Formats: sequence, C-alpha cells, structure tokens
Amino acid sequence: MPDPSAPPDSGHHRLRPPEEEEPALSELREILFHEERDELLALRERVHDPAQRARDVSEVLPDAVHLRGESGPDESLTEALRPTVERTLKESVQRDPQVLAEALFPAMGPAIRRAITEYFRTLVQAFDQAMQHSFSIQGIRWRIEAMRTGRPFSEVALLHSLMFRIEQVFLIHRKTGLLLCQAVAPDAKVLDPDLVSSMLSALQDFARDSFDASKTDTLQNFKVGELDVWAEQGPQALIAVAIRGEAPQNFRLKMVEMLERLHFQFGHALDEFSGDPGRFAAAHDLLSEALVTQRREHSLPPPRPYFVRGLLAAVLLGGAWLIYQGVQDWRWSRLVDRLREQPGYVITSSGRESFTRYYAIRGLRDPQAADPFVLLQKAGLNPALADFQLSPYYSLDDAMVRKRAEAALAPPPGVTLNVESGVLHVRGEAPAEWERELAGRALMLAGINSVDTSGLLLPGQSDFVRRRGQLGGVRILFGVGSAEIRPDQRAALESAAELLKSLDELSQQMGAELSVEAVGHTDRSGPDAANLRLSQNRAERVIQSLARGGLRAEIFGARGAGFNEPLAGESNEAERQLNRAVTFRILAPKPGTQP
Amino acid sequence: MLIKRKICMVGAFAVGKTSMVRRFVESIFSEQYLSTVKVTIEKKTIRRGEDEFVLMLWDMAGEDAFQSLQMSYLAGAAGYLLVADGTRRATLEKALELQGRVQQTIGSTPFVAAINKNDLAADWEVTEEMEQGLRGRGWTVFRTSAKTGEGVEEAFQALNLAMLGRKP
Repeated sequence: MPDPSAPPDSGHHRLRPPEEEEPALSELREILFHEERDELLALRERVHDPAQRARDVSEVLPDAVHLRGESGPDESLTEALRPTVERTLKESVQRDPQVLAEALFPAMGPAIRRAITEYFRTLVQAFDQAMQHSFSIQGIRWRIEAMRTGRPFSEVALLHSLMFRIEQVFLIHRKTGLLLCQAVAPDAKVLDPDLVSSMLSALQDFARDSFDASKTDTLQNFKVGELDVWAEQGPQALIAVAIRGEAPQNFRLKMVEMLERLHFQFGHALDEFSGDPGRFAAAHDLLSEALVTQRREHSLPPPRPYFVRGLLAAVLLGGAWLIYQGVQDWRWSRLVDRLREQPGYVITSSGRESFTRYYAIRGLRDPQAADPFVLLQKAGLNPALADFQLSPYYSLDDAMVRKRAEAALAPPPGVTLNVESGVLHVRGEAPAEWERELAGRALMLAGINSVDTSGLLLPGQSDFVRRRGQLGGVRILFGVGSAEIRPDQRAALESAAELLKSLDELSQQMGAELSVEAVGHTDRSGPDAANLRLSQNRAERVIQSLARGGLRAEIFGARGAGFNEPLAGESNEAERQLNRAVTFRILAPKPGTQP
Repeated sequence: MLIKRKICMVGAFAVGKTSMVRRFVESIFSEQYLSTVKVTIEKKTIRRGEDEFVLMLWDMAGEDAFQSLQMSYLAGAAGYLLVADGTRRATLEKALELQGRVQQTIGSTPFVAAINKNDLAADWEVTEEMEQGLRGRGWTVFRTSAKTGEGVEEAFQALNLAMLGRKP
C-alpha cells in the first residue's frame, strides 16, 4: 500500500500539488479524498503498467472484433488489420514456408486441381477451334487481324466464332434456390426466372444425390427447350445463363470470374439473405455484362478440321496424280512420235480420253506394219490403257510394198525381193513354176507396177553357168600332125569329163537335153583340107575317149575347124601348140542368156 | 416490397399436392421431372397489402412404399405445406411421421397442414378428434379441396403469415 505521507514517486505531482498549497487544505484533501486517491493511484498504476494493459485488452479483444463485425459491412477493421496480416504472412513464409504450406494444403489441392481441370478444358476447346480455323481462308484472315491489332490469335478467333446469344443471366441463392437478380437480353424470349432458378437448384440437388457426387461437383448444363442453360456454382450463389446457340467453352471462365466478383461484392448479403432480393439490385449491371450477342460473319459454318485435312490430302493427291499423268502423257506422245516414223502408219490424232486413264490413238495402219502393242511394250507403257483406233490401209511406202509382196508371194528360200519406186526386183533361184506365176501375182499387189526377174535363175542354173565357164577354158592338146591323145593330156581330159558329167546332170534337172560340140583345131602349117580332116579326127578322138569314160555319146557332136578358128597367134611354137587342140562348146541348154 | 420464399409441398403419395398448386400456377416443367427428379417447381404469388410474396413451390414426389422423400430438396425452405388425404387416414399418420423427419432435417420451420379432398366428404376418414389432436400440438390445420379450391388459398396465406411471424 502506498504511504500517503511520503511521495512515492514523481507520478504523484498532480495529486500532490506544489508547496504553495496550504497545509490545512492538504490535510482536508487527505481527509476528504483518501479512498478515491488510493483508487486513482491503483488505476494509474494499472494504466501505466504495459503488462497489465495487455492483459486487459486481451480480455476484450475477441469480443470487440466480433462486435465490430456484427455492426454491418465495414471495411475499416479489415483495412486496419490488412497491412499487419499481410506482413505477418509474408514474414511467416520467409521464415518457414512449410508452416503455411501445411495449413493451406487441404484447401490448395482441390483449388489447384479445379483450376488445372478448367484450364485444360478451355485449352482443348481453344485447340479444337484453332484447328478449325488454321486451314481456312477465314483463319488466315483472322491471323492477319491478330497481327495487325496485336491481339492473340485465340482471342480474335474467339471473337469471330462466337455464334450465340446469352439471353438471360441469373444470380441464384444457393441454399434456397431463389432468384436474387437477373439480366435479360432485349427482345429475348424470357424463361420464368424464378422457376428456372429453383429448378436448376433442384436439379443440382438431384444430380448430387443421384450420382453420389461430391459436394464440389455440380451440374453444369441442362436444356430448356431450345436453350442451353449453363451453371457455375460458388459457395453461396450460383450463376446460370440461358444460351441460344453454341457458346465456346471459354465463356465458362467469364462466368467463374463474374461469380467471384459477385461473392466479393455481396458476400455479406448472400449470407444474410432471408427472402428479400432488393439488396441484389446492384448486381444487375454486372450480370448484364454477360449478355453477349455474337453472330458469325458468314452463314456458312467454318470448314471442319477433317474436311480441311481431307481437302489438303485431295489437293496433294490431285497434284501427284497430275504429275504422274504428265509423265504418262509425255511417254504416250513419244510413242505416237515413234509410230509416225514407222512405215505403214498414219496417225491422225492422239490424246487422253477425257477423265479416264485411257489413251486413244487414231489413224491408219497397214496390216504389214509393225505391231503397235510390241512398240508399246518396248516403251514401257501399259497395253491395257491403249485404245488404238487404227483403220487398215495399203501403204505405198517401198518397205511396206516389199513386205506385202513377201507375204503374198511367199518367195522360196534364197530369193530376195526388193521394191524401188514400184518396181519389184527378184533375185535368186526359184523353181520354174513359181517364176511362171510370179509376174501375174505380183502385179495384183498394190504398189507394184512392174516386175524385174533378170536376177532370177532356175534351180541349178547358176551352177550350170559356172561349170560351162570352166569347161570353156579346157583344152585338150595334140602333137604336130597327130590325132592321138597324148598321155600328158589325160588330166585335162578327165577334168573335161567331170565338168561334162555334172553339166549333163544339171541339164536334166532343168528339164533340158545337154548338147555339146567338141571342136578340133590345127596350126597353120599344112594344106587346109588336110588340116580340116586332122581337126575332125582330133574332135572325134576326144569324144570317143570321153564316151569310153562313161559319158553319153549322143550328147556330143564333133566338128573340125582346121585353122579357121585359131585359138592363139602363130608367132612361136608355144602359140602354135595352143592351136593344135580340141575345145568344147555348149550348144544347149543356154540359161542365163534367155528368160 | 418483394419477398421470395422457398416452400415445400410434403405429403404421402397421391394426396393431391400437385393438384393443389396446379389450380393457381403455371409450370414450364413437364410432369416428367416429378417422376425422374422427384420434384417439380411451381410459382405462386400472394399479395398482402403493399407487399408481394413470391412463393416457389417445390412439389416433391409423395412418399409411398416405393419411393422415399428426397430430403435434400428441403434445404433452404422457409416453410412447408404438409398435405394429407382426408379420405385415407393412413396419409395423416404419414404426415405426422414426415413432419417429424422434416423438422429433424431442416429444424423447426413454419408449416401448415392441409387435409385435402374435402369435396369427398362421404368417404371422409379423418375425424374431428384427430383434427383437434393436431391443433392441440400447435398445428395450423386446414380442410382443403384441390378440386373446388376450397381452403387452398387460405392455407397458403396462413403459411405465409406463419413465415412472416418467424422472419418478418
């Protein structure tokens, strides 16, 4: 207890005024206010003791804050607390983030999950739309617009593709399902907002009960007539919009944002709602912001991605097909060029048949001309695609006429045919009967005006002519004044015999009778009459000798020419010897000199 | 002033809940909702002096052996109309049972009991004593006829008043 007589400390100055106070007054004061003074001292001590003050405030602080909150919406307490709370949170995080993380964990998980789900849903939607727009002309135009205006493409695309109208926006009290406020688009056919609100609320309950969904899962869409109703639910209220047409998924984000703003603005009123919607009239402006009307510029829907992809594929395929066709056309035209060069072809026109793979080649073809399909295969083209429309005709080209003659006349082996300017030249050996018919048949053929058979021999004739030539060179020589066969002439005689034998045989093959004249010769010496006789003897002697060797005597004739047909000059003995001889002359047949 | 209320129509199967509200209201929802969602919503407006009351009537499918009352629909109701069929005593017993369950679910909430089908007086099974018994419990009881309209308006007015008494 403080001692009133002694000043306990400086704090007593005002209660113990300066010395000028009368001691009597002081005493009186002491008597009168003794108890109050003690109380005042106790109070002062309490007020000046920080520890005690803290204790006092701590007792009333919760009630004081509560009272302040109950007195209605007032931001001042919040404002006053905010900086401290913010600083505290900041410091707490800086010191040990784990504490706050643990405290927030139960709330953050669902919030993050929901945000991510929402994000991906809108992302997928945006991607779908981007796919729709990327390939179209419209999409390119929007891309240019995005570059020009500096806005993201997705935003431009969204703006243009909105093809819907938000006709009604409802703000609904979650607990009662009652309508708090609504905004209606002008001229919209209005659904009874009270009924829609309640029914939506009922459907939410039903969906939750029926599908055993958690409290946070809500019914998001339903249909009333031709209108889609979308709902987004917050803790105390939900927003529903009636949509005509197809709204993009992004619109949901707008609804969520709006719901957050409404909760912020009307949180208190929502909490206290007891049937009077008047307090929510101010929400009308905010709700009206959602009354979006967006019509597509064009009445045609944008090309669907699969359509665009199909179109692209078709263009690529078409391009590839055109290139392939171009190469094919070039190969076909080369074939046509080659056909034009071929004898026996007249190409009048060629080209692909419209809208088909078939290639038509029209014109004339000599039956003897090269097979077009063989040429086709040589060129590596598919014969199945060829449509040859070639009429037959007779070509007057020499090569064609020759082929035609060969086909028609069937020349025996060894006979060659040639055509030059309408003249058929025949060379080689052919049987007489073929030769007989040759001219008549050849002249019937188109393109042959005359036949030249000068080069044509009967079978064996060429042999005959050759051996006749050889026989012409054979001389059987004799001694002076003698008709005896000298031993040294045996070999000459034998070769003559051999030639004559084969000539006889060849003659018979040709159907002719060989007729040979053995001609005797002499030199100049001696009288002419004696020489004629001598030469005759010499010829006969040779024939006798040959006949003895096996040749038929009847083919021979002997003639003495004396010195009338000298075989050489008479300037020396060697020449004179040559004139003393027998030679042979074929009288018949005479092939090669007559047709 | 405009006041909006959520009201539930509670009662056994086929006591005439829907008929009672249909006399006055138009609904945009088809009967299908009642059978599938087990509730359909109707709206009734009552004037009282300067005030206009919009009553959102949650017409809940009646309870019978095959389906039970969907209690979650009761949440947020400002009051309810408990409907029984005067020609079937069992429905009154059901109403008593339902009232207990409703009170258990949403707490003490204003309600009015309507004993319906008063037009079928010949088949009446509910006795005066039973009615008095209800009144003795502090209930407000009306005899109504959805067919003739008798007592219906009065029942709604009384319910509205009861709700005002609780939350003016």
